[in-house]
Amino acid sequence: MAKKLKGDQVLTGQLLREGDVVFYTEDGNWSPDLQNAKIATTAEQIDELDVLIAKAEETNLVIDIYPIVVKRDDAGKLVPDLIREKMRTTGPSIVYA
Amino acid sequence: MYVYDDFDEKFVRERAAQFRDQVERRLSGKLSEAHFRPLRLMNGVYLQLHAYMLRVAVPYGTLSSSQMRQLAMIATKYDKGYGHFTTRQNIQFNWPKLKDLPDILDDLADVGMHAIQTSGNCIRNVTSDQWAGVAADEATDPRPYAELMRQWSSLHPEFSYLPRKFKIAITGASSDRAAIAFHDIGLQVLKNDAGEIGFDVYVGGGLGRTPMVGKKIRDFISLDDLLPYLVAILRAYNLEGRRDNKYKARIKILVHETGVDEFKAKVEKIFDGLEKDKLTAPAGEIERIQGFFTLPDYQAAEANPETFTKARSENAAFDSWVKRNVAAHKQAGYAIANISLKPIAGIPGDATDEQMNLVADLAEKYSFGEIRVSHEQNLVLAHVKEEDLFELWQALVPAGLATANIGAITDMITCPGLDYCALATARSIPVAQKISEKFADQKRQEDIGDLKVKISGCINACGHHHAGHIGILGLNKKGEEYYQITLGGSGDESAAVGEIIGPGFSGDDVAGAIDTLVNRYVELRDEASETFLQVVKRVGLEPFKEALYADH
Ligand code: SF4
Repeated sequence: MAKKLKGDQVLTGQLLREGDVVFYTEDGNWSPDLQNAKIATTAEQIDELDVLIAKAEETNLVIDIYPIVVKRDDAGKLVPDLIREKMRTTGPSIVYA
Repeated sequence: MYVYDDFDEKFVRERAAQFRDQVERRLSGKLSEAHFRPLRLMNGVYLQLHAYMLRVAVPYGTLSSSQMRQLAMIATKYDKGYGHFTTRQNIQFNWPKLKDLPDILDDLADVGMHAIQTSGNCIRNVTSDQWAGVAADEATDPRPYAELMRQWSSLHPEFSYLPRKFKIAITGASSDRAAIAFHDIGLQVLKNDAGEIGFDVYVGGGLGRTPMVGKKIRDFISLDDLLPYLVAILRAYNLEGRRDNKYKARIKILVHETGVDEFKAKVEKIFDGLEKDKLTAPAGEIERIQGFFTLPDYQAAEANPETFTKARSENAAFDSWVKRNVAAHKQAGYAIANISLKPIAGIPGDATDEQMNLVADLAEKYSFGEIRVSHEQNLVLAHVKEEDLFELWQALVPAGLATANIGAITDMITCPGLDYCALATARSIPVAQKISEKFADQKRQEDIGDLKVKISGCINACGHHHAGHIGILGLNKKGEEYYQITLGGSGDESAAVGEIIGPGFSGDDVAGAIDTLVNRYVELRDEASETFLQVVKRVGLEPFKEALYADH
């Protein structure tokens, strides 16, 4: 899965109990903040993502795990490449509730 | 209103208990996500872009005040204080947590509600005219038959694993407010000269990536034969509908590929072979159901009472609201009050917990404790005395519920789009908000008159864009949202699929494009009463194309 994408990647998923969007971190946890995500840059790291997904699924904490492509904006912050993933990262773009 | 009998009560409770057990096993890891997913979907629980989403069934869009209060309570306690009313007359909660869902289902069961068959390839909530039973133009109240179909289709063993989802809509009025031509099965209830009930049956309508207007396959099927005939249609579909390709699996594709005549012949053949007396409702059941839908105890009330006409003449905002939001009632002295969930620049179809509680109170005070949800994502109090309308309106104003725009350009059907929906290609809500702002001026809206704008955030067309006089479809081109505009669609008795007018627009430019189209319409209309749709039908797309693309 990860191999098909082009560019730096991070893993995202949703918390099983709550449903919140989270990102896989350097220390093997999950964070709601994309800026904490572990970035796979090299071919090796990207290959490893599929293994990480399988392992993470076994912990039964996070569901619907998949890799997304990220870039750095001018301020050096990570931003998802696709608009869908941008929306997932930031939440609804409207004032709700 | 229909009230659950012991059977309904029991199966809803059992289902909630089963789901509690399933959630526990999922959380403990005994059930894998792959095994759990279909189980949660059978209880209306989706995983959306930011959270789980729960879709609760509102049978044919009818709610009691106590049910509405319970929905408000759920919004407060388990969600972020609001809910979203959908084009299938249901309500969705956007932020429930899986760990809370068993409690939510119990709370729903307490008021006779559930989320069964709000997802999956089964017969979904039967929808109907939001003015059913009270509309001045109605021949027969469709609700008893909608309820009959609800009971028949609930956990129907033969039809719980269809090739794809299946939607039935029914109306009893000459003006079709239930969009029956865009449903898998559409039913028009009629009464003949002998006073007998019959149903015209339409099949194979639908929106999505292949929009189709339903075709009539039967005139005036009798009440006794209604359920057997539905069985015949669904059996034909269940056997022959495509299961190899999700996008070709709806009955509309089967009807289209088979041809209407041949499909009808198949249905008739199955129908002829059925033991009909085993499939029809038992004697007395229809009468029992009808007993729940007798009209409330209206008081003798004067039509156009002086208090009402005086308030109208003295208060222009109230008068605008009456003109736009109040509809004629069967009973003299009573009116249908429509509550718009489309405030200017708001989120179409959303209601806060406070608003839900207020509507529940007002329904109790003025409308026999009954609320309707329309497929156009508004609410209805169906039995309000004309002399109470001013008071009702005054209570709605401070809650932001008195927008005078029913059927006007700012009363847009809008799907959740990319702000919530995992399948979306573009956002819908911000586009609706920009259009709403552009046309906020009440005088201008009144001058424009009836104009239905409908917006979907992807080709699945939950926002009914194909049926919009102006339809807007959000797509994604090279990573950017862009919007395709269609003209001339219609979701009522003159059902038609809109035509694409030309190249799409960016999110920032859509509202301006709609403005251009509306200005062109105003220039083109022969008189103020000629509607946008009538003008499009008369002059075609060309003059609108010129207006939109001349400078490009
Ligand atoms: S039309 Fe598309 S974006 Fe809108 S609710 Fe349906 S699936 Fe989601």
